[in-house]
Amino acid sequence: MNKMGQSILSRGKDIKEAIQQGLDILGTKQEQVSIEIIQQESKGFMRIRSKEAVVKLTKLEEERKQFKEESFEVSLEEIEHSISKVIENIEQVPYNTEVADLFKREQGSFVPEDNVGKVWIKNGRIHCEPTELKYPTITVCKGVKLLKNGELVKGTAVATKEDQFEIETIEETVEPNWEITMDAQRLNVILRVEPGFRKSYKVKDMEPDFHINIEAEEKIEVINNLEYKRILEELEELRVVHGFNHSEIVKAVNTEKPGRYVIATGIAPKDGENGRIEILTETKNKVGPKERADGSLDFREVKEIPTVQKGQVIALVHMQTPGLPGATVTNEPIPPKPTFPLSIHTGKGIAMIENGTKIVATESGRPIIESKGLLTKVSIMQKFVHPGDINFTSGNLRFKGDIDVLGNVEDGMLVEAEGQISIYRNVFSSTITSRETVIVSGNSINSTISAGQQNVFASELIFVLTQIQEQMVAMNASIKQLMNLPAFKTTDFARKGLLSLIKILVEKKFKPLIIFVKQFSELTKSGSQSINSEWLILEEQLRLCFLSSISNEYHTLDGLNSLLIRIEEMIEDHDPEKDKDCLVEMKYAHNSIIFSGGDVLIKGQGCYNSKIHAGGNLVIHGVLRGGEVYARLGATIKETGSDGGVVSKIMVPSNGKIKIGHAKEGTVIQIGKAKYTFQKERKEITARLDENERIIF
Amino acid sequence: MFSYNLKHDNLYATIQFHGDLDIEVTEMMEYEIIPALQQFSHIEIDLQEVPFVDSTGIGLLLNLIQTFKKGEDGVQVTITNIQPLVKEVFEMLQLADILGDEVLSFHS
Repeated sequence: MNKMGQSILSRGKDIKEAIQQGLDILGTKQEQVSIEIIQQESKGFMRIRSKEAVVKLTKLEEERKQFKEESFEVSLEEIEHSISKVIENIEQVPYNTEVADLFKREQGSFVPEDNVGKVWIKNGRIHCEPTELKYPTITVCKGVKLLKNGELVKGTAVATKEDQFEIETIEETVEPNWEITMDAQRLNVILRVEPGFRKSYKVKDMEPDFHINIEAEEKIEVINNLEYKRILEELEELRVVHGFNHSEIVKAVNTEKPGRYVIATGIAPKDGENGRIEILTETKNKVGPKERADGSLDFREVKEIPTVQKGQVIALVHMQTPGLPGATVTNEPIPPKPTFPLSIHTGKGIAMIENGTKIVATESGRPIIESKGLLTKVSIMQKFVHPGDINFTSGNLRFKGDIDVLGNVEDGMLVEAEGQISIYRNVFSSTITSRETVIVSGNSINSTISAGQQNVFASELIFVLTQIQEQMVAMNASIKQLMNLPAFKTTDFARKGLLSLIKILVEKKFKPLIIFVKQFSELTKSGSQSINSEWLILEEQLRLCFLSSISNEYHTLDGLNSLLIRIEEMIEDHDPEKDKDCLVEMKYAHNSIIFSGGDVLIKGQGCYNSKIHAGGNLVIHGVLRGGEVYARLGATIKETGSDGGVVSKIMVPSNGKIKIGHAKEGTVIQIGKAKYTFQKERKEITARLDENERIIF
Repeated sequence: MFSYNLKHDNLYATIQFHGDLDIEVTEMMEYEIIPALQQFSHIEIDLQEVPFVDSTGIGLLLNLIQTFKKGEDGVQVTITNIQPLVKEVFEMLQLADILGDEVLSFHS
């Protein structure tokens, strides 16, 4: 069924004319209206008692929908027009009371005619004029409650004549809030303000329509009841007497938005400066003689190594400067951070003059300045230059400073220095040991070369020790946790100590601990010749603690803790970072053992059947064929392995990377615990571990 | 005071422990309990009446079980009725991993 739309009454001298007139008014066609005949025309005498025809035309809804916008406006005007016409006609025929009544009845709902079937809001009240065929609808919006016959409407309501509507608006009030705090140093007083507000809604008047959305205007009234006086009272209570920021207080009082105001500020102390050293000379190691384009060495460039002469001022020492005290907002003094003088430890070849403000060299050599916190060590590393070869004729060479050997080292000789060693030619079947750096301009054949405070064994021992430490920390935690369990008795601790417990714990839960301790023990034994006695002592302590079956002093909580502290100290003392500036550099290595606390650089043809340990980076510009290399910070090698498949192993820790330009058969790489063997050659690879500890390229 | 109660049926033995399993049990374990259990192929150790343990006691228990399991005949040993608080200790020490799930099952 078609819904009914807008209706008009129309008249004419007969039905046909009445319809036509109505259609003209509506601006529509006969097919688009329904026609109800209200009154047939009848002919009276001389127009007396004659009646005209009256029809009711109702536009069909479909039509209305189609032309909703434009036709609606137009027809409204036209309806008005038609009404005036109709009324005119009525007036012309005053005696036609029936029709006039009918019109009047219709007018009741029609005047103003366009309100029929509509709803509107005026002064916050809902009015509506539903018809049988058209019930207006109302939709509720935010902030408004609509009650239909006393019941809350959700969404949209249909209005019928009998319905009673009431509109209620929602009101919301948030109380203002403020708070004064002081920071820990009493340097700043902070006022946080959150003004409150009162939110209300006012329902807007709505023009009549078939459907209306009740709209409400949001009205927000900010409440900030903060008073200047009140703040000052509060400050007085906090005993703030100093550094008021009046303009901030005024801003806080007037604000309509939440904010944070620093309403009083003390005076921050001005920190002084600790003593410091100002170095006047170059101290960084520079690599020895420069290579000429033809490969020969330019010995004049030797002077590039930083040196100072007797009597030269190496550095100035600046005394500490005291800071200035500040004051809190409660007017208490705040002392500045204390400052301290630099503590200078003068080593060989160094003197302090002019009240310790200048550091002067008393010998010539290479200045060495090491700083750790406020402690600075200054010394002069003297240099010994050996003009020829080191061999049976010259004997071994040991020196507390730097050594330059301008020839070869051969015949299984030994060169040992506290400072840097530079060999300008080759090393054959010999041992070179420096605590800093070894530069071999030529090759190393069948030799052992070591640079750094540690050696190969110590660094491997530290690696194992770190794992022992990790396990012990976890085990100590487990023991403490266990002792807190209600069903666990500690009665046997007095008689047998923790031995029984440790035995059970290392049976499964801390099984790796035993493996690491055994590993540590074996390593110490195999390197006992070249390591410090402190390692041997620690090895014995670990053995007694974890491998002994007789209760001893380590089987107590205190015993375990002191052992753990000793391990920590040992790890700290052998921090590989200390050796990071060490370097071993050469052209070519064959059958050699090379250790560097820092980097290793093979600049020439490559490295054959050698073992390398680099605490820093390993770079081989040539070939790595045979042997085993480890680089703590990663390895970069041009070519590895060989066509014949000689095994060449490259190892880095789990966070390290291995870069190989051309990996041939026989290349084995190991990153952390993951291994990979190259069966076929590959070019330009960079290997590292993914998050699942698998090697990826 | 610690005591035990041994019931057996042919090759099947059930030994009930009463009291704290601690260092005090050492001698009894060595000289009485282990010898008494020699001839059985199935041994059930009932810990229903054991409220406290210490590390030596647990060591003795481990030793007892490992002694029998090691043998050529492969004696089947199970531990049953562990008190909840004692179980906490056993779990912490990962005893199930040491002895195997068939001996000590925390899931049952």
